[in-house]
Formats: sequence, C-alpha cells, structure tokens
Amino acid sequence: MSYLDRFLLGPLGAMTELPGIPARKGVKVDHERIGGTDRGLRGGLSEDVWATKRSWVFGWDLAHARQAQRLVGRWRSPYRASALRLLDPMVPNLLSPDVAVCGSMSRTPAGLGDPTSTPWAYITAGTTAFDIIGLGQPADTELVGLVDSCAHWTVPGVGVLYSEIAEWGRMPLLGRRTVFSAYVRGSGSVLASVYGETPGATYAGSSTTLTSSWQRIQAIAPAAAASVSFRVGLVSGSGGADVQTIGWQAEHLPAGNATDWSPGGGAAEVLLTEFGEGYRVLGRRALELTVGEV
Amino acid sequence: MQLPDDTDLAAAVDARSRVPIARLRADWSANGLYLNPESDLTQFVQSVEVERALATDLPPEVSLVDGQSIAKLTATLKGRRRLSSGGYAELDIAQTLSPLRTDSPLYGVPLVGRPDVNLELGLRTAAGPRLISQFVGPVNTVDPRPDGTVELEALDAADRMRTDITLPAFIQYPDRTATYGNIFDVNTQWVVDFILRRNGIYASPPPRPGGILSVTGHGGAVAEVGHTRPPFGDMTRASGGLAFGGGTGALWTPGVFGLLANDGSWCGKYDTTGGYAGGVRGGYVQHYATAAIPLELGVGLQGWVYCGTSATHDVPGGLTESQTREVFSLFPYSFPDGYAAVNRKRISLVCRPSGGLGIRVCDGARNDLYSLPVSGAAAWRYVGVHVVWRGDGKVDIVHRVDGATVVRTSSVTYDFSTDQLLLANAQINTWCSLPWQDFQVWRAASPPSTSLAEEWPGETWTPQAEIGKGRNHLTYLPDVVGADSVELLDEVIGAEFGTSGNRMTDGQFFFRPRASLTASTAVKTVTADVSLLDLSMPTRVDSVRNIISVRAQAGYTQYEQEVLYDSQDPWEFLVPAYTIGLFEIPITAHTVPYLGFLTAQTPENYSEAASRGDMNIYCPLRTDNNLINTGVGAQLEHIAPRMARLRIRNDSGVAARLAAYSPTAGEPNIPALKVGCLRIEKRPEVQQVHTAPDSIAKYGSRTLPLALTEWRQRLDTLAPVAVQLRNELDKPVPPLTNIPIKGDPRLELFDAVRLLDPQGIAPSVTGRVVKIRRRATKTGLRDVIDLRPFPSTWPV
Repeated sequence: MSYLDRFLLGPLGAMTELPGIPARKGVKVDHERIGGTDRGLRGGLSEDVWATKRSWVFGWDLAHARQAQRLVGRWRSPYRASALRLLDPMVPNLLSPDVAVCGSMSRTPAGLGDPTSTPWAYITAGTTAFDIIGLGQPADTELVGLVDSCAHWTVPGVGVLYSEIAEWGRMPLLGRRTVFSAYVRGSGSVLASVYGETPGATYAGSSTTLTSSWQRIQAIAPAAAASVSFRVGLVSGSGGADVQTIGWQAEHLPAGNATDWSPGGGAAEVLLTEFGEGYRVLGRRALELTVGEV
Repeated sequence: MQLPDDTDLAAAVDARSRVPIARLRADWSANGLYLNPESDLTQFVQSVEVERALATDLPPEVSLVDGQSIAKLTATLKGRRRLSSGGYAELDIAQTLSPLRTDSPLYGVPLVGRPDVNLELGLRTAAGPRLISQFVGPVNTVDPRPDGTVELEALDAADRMRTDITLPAFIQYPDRTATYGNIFDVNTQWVVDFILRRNGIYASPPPRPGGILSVTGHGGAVAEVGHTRPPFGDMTRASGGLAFGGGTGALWTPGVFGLLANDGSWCGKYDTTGGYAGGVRGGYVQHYATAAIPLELGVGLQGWVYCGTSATHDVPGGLTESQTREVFSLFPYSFPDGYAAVNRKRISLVCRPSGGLGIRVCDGARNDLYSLPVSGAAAWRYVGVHVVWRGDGKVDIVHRVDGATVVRTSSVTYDFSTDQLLLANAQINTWCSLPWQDFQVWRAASPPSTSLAEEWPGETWTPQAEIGKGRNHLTYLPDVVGADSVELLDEVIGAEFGTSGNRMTDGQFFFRPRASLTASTAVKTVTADVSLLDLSMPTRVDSVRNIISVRAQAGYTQYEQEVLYDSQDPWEFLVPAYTIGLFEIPITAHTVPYLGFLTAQTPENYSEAASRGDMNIYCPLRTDNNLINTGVGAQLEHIAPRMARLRIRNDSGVAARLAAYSPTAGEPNIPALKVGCLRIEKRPEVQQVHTAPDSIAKYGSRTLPLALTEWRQRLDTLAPVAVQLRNELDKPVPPLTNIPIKGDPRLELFDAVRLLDPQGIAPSVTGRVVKIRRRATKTGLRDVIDLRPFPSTWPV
C-alpha cells in the first residue's frame, strides 16, 4: 500500500501528487446532498434529492513553493482539454459509484452500442435490464442492504459489456498493477477484462462457467501496462451468456487478488472550487484548496 | 394524467424520499431530432419552470374549465459544457448562445422562433428512471447575461400560428327539407382545422402542391383550395323520408385521423344510369376548382371513402350493379353539352349498390363504368384515381384502393374534344352517397409515383393535431379577412366555450369541445400529511352566475341571384381583336359569385333580357356598332377569396366591347354586362335565457350574457352549452388557487385531483386542475396548482 497514500490530482496521464496530508489536520470530505426537504401541511417530512456529491477540503500549512505554484497554475487557468481527476487513496474502488453497483443507483440499464448516451455501461450485443433481487446480493459484501438490484445481460454469442464509454468513465492506470473484479451468476460463460485505451491493450481474466450462485471473477492488468487509463468489461463466451452481475471493483493492488468490494468513487472527476495561499513560514506556503466532485 | 398505470412511478412520486431527474433540450437544427451537439442543455439548468393555465373570456372569479391553454417555459442556464471526450467546452453557455460570438458552434443558427425546446421531468423509480415530457414549444427569448447565465423562454407552439386567415365565403339555402338546399352547417372543427392547415399543421394530409381543389369535409363542405357554392339537392332518402327532418342530425360522421367526415348515409334519390336522369338529384355540393381541367393533360383525384361490403349508405332496393351513384364528379367543360343532361361530359368516382366503387367516363355519347375492386367489409379506404385522355382517343385510368394500384386503358375511344370550352374554374361536385373526407383534385400528366408499389401521397398520415367535434354549428362562415390565427382560434373556440391548447407531452395542438364539470374519480390524491404544502379556499359570491342569456343570428342566401356587377359604361369592357381581356371585379363579404360562361345576347335582345332580370348575360358589339356573331366568349372566374375576374376572349377579328342597342331607337348604346351572385341575408337576431331559480332565490340575480358575435348563429346548438354553464355557475364554488404541492410530473391540466386534509378546512375536496406552475430547482420538484372543485359535489 506504499504508493496509495497520496492524493493525486490532474488529467488522466498527467496526475500529480498533492502535498502530503498534514498530521492531525487531515482532509475534510463533505457529502453534500443537492436537494431540499418539505414539510406537509400536517407536518410530514419529505425530501427531493437530485444527487449527492463530495467535496474535499485540503489545508497545508507548510507546502513547498513548487507545489503551490502548480496549484496556482491549475487554479488560474482551468485545464479544459481534459477533465481533472482526483485519486482519493481512501476509496480503493476506482469505478464511479454507479458503475460499481452496475447502474443500481441511476436505475439505468446499459445502452446498446450508443456511445453518445450516458448509461453506466454499454453493450456490443444482446439485451440488458436490471433485476430487482432485494437481499439476494453476493453474501459477505457491503452490497447487501445497499442496493436492491443487479444488472442483467443476455447475449446470444460473443459480446462485451463495457463500463461507460465517455472520458469520465475511464480510470487512471498510473503504471500500477490493476485488478478488476465482478460478481456474476447465471448460465453460459464470461470473463472479466481490463481495457487500456491503447488499441489492443486488453488484459483478460479466465473464462468462467456461470452457475446459479454468485462467483467473483477478476482480470489483472500488470504493473507498467502501456496505457494511461482503462475501463473494464465483461466478455461473453462463444456460447453466449445470460448473466446477472453486480459489485464491480477496480483497484490498484501491488499484489494479490481483489480485495473486498467497497463502494466506488476513488477517481472522481472534480473541479477546483476554492483556493487560497498564505505566506506564514519562511520558504513555505500555506495552502487551502477545496475540490468539488462534478 | 400521464402514465397512470405505472405503479413504480406512482410509488416514486408518493415516496418521502425522491430522486428527481430532468432533461432539457433545444432543437437548434429545427428538424425535430434534437441531434445538434449543443442540443442537450440539461447540465446547465439552474432552475426551470413550466406554467400552464387556461385563459378564458369569462370573469376571473368564474374560473371554469374552458378556454385556451397557454404554456410558458422559463429556464435559467449556467455553466460550461462537459465533453464526453474529457474536459470542458471553451465557451460557457452564455457565450455559446450569444448571437455575436463567431466562435460559437451555434453562430449563425437562428436561436429563436424556429427551434423547439423540450423539457422532460421525472423520477428514478424502482424499475428505472421515468421521464415525462412536460413541454414542447418554440424558443421565444434567449437572454445571455455577462455573468454567464442565460434566461431562456419558450412559448407554446401556438406562438408559431401567425398566418393571416381569410375565410372563404360560405352560404347556403335556408331549406332543411326537400327540393333545394341541403344543410351543411359548418362545425367548429372545420374552422379550427382550416386555421391550422393555413399554418402548416395538418391533422389530415395536406393539400397537394399545385392542387386545384381540396375539400377536407372535416365538419364543413367548404373547399380550402377552390370555391364552394351553396350545397344543392334534396335530403330525402330512397325510402322517401327526410334525412334529418330539419334537425341538426348527423351531418358529420366520425372519419379517419380522428376527424369528421361528410356523412353519406342520406343521399337522397338515385339514378339508374349514372347521370341525373329526369332531373332526379341527390344531395351534393358544387365546388369550383382554381383552374381548368384539361383532360388531355391528365387529372388525378383522391380521397378517403367509406366503402366496401355493406358500407352504410342509403341504397334503394332493386338496384343492379350498373346503377351507380356519384361520389365525386369532375366537369371539365362548359354547358354546350347541357347542364342537366344525363350525359354531360365528366369523369366520376361512383359507388355501386354492393358498396364497391367504380369510375364513370362519359363523353356525351358513351357513358361507361369501369369497376374498381374493393374487397372486404366496409371501412375507410384511401382511393386514388388518375385519368388521361390520350391522343388516340382512349383513356388511361390508374386507380388505387386497398394499397393496390391498377393500370388500365379503355378499349373504346372517347371524344373529349377540346373545342368544348374549358372552364377556368372547372366544376367539381361532391355527393352524399358515401361518407368521404380529404377529397383533392390535381393536374398531373402521370399518376403519383412511377413505381406502383409506392404509396400515393396522403395514403398514410400521422395527424399533427387533435381536433375534436365542436358543439357549435354555423349556418354561414363569418366575414374574416386577414385575421390573426391565434386570435381567430380564440374567437371560434370561445364561442362555444371549448378548450384548446398544446399538449403537454408533444406540444401538439388540441381542440376539445367543452367538457362538463361532472364529478369524476380523482386520478391523484394529495394528502396534507406529506404532499399538500398549503391551501386557501376563499368563497366569493362573485363567482355565481344564475342567468345565462344567449344571442344568436343565422344567415342564409336567397335562391334568386343578386347583381354582382352591372356595367355602367358601354366602353368599359373593350377587347382588341385576338386578345383576352381580363377585368377584376371585387367581391364583398358573404358573396358567392356566379362562375362559368356567360350567356351572349343579341344587341337587340339584351335590354329586354336585362330588364326581365336575367343574370350572367353580355353582348359583344363592334366598335362601329355592328353585331358580332361569333368568336367572343365571356367567363367569370374566381381568383382570390375576395376577387372575381371577367375573362373576355375575342377571336372575332375585330375589336369588341360589351354594349347593346338602346331600347329607344336613336339613343346611344347601353352597357351590356350583368353578372349575378348569391348573397347572405341575415335572419332576425334571437335570444334565449337560461335561469336557475333556486340559485336566484339564494344569491340574487347574477347574469352572464353571451354576446352576439358572428360565431353564434344557432340557439339550438348553443343551448346545451348555456345550460351547462348555468349548472356549473349557480353555486359559489371557490376556486382553490395557488396550492403548493410536491411536484408530480404526471399531473396535467384537466386532471381530477383530490385534496385530503381530515383535520383541516378541506377534509376532502375533489376538483379539476386548471393551472399548473411546475418548478424544478435545486431544492426539488414543486407544483403550484389551481383547482376548480366539481359544482355537483359542492354542498351549497
């Protein structure tokens, strides 16, 4: 876990380390609900929630000038050619919160071969839906009680179920060994796969025959894989598959197999929302930075 | 109520914790596809509001469920577009929507007027996201601000209906009985449809480009392209009885596209040869096309006809299949072949006693029936026919029914000699032998498509508007010249207190007759515990109306022609040799000019004929006062709604003028042209008062006068509307206004909603929604509604 302890900020391919988190000060992470509450005429409470977004509040009292200059540059000149990403080392699952639960949050089935729409995933063949399964989630995961559904993909032959196609659906690879894991059950066979953005940079797991019980399958991209970023997907065998899937996780792991599933959000797309600088200690900079999830 | 059966959505709407979703798009490319890369505005929306309300002419305290629904969308936008390829667009939305930014992808694109805006709102449900379209209408205002925000405003599609409308003159004979005049009172639907069609909104197939006649029949026998004479013929059935006995009857019958059709079940008499032998006539309407029909050039006709086995029509017993009745008749030529002649030259679509169809080709000598196979039971069918008289004298006929095209050529030859005088406005009759609608005639050398497997234009059509059957009937069409479409619609629909507007989901125009405010089961319950946020219920005596007075005035034409133009100067119409003289004659309101060839008189006889009251006569005279025997013809044409034209053709070899000898010898010549017309004669105004004595006893007399307008012509059709108004207004039912509730994207105008507050001032009250202001802001979805409780359930 040695290199997982720093926050990284920057566009994919150019993420740089933020100053180390000061001892005892830490980072404040707010989970803000965009929405409002109402009281009925007779007092009942209700709420409308459009979305929940995080913001990270950083404070460094003793940052180096070089680190300060880098942030001043980002702040003064919003980088538009590519989106800023924040790698939060406290959230191991790099996938977006919705992809990590296979669309159960947005309640959107994967789209069919249409990269312009924005469902959580898209497919090259077959049909998708999402099934309400209640408590029937993979046992011993956080999923039980967190979501009540899973994605359902029926495909007659070989097909791919990709995580969302847009740039914000790609995760940073950073030359690190990366493990993608997913829970699957059903009939036919599938394999998990990690796709680098370089053509042909595909790291597939082994084909697994599905049963009526949940199995966890995984694919591993080795350290120093050529690509800058990746997305993940399931590939059906030539005999097709009728697969339910949930609990996707992509994590940077120096060694070993996938760790326990945790909610996604580890590589959020962000904007810098507040920034301030102070000169308090000779040769050092006091920095305050707030980063908001888009 | 949209998606009333979606239980997942219903559960999500009523849940205490809700996840709303929204989508706002602008169709910058204005092609209905919303595919412009800048179309999706969802990510910029700071707040968006749609207000939809019924406007009515009635006093504000009398908030009835009627009037014109007016909708408006306002949205506040801000931000920079997030690109799916990563990063953000260079320009923010205010810069993008600034017409002056040359680097905007929308530079040069019209941002207002043309593009539609579509708002969808919804909720995430257990079964997935549900979006319901809330608004479709053109962008009215784009207001980018220096701070990067944009105020966007869009109005109903009605905002686009700005064509000026001139109604054709339509008058009819007063009879509701035998011999003359059928009654073809015009239903509100025809007027509404006419206005929409003039604005490019077609509930049924549009008129063909270059077509010479189009009669929709949607509640009116009036041509939209072409001109219409007073309906003619009689209303007796084959059995001898009167079709409608003078009542309103089923003049119009439900047709295709949800519109009315000309009812053909009361044709009157039949003939045995296909002509009108022995002066026996059925009910028909005489139309005049906008141009001649040169048969050698080719002519097509199309229409939707209710035909097939046992199609409902008034078939006398004992007819054989060769004994047909006409549905549409085209008369390309003038009268030399005899107006009432059995064998007047014509091409006709006819129906046969079996319910099948046929085409009659009659050249004066031959009168042949070409049967048109119609298989199967009675149904609405698209019927298309194209006829060309070939150089070798044979006739090519192409006809299309039931999706099958048949090409045939006659084995015999016909004499449609072009020596016959071509009518500038060819006469075309529509008959009452079978129900029909959307009848059109056009000139074309060949049938619609070269590949016969293809459809003919208009064979399939997706209605672009929903136009109901009105409750008002007009004996004549009011005098309207160059009126604003929207204002005219308000007048027409307001006359019968109907409702109109643009549908919430697709922005399509709708017209619905006034619905009674009868109690109905609520489609939605709003509880004070959660979803009802506030309530006010002011009862005011101002809302009571217990005397409804209605004024109406009908108008009909007389049988006798009146003078349209009587020349006052013997030199007024001077036509040089071998030329055609064209003289325009303006027409006043409610006037149907006599169209066709005028009758020539000799110079000696003209003054006698004129003093006898003969109409449509003229006399060609040489400039040296000598008689012209042949070579001069005069014809009256209709060239615009308010303009006729006299066409004088002079092939006599010398200059001609229209003059005749004075009856007194030695006096100068007298002018010699007299053209007739039919004019309206308004009947005396009538009034009817509907009172509610109980209400007068309780609350005193309060009158609602329904003023006399040209749109109120018959008391009998307006009486039910007045009675309904009285029944709804005779109690002080409070309008519940500005009630905030939790937003429900399914809810729309006219829905019945029940408010439940057992501990409060309104334990249970049910009413109809007459106004919705729906806001989606960062704090969620809210509706503010106006509710009109059902009077029948109101206690006092």
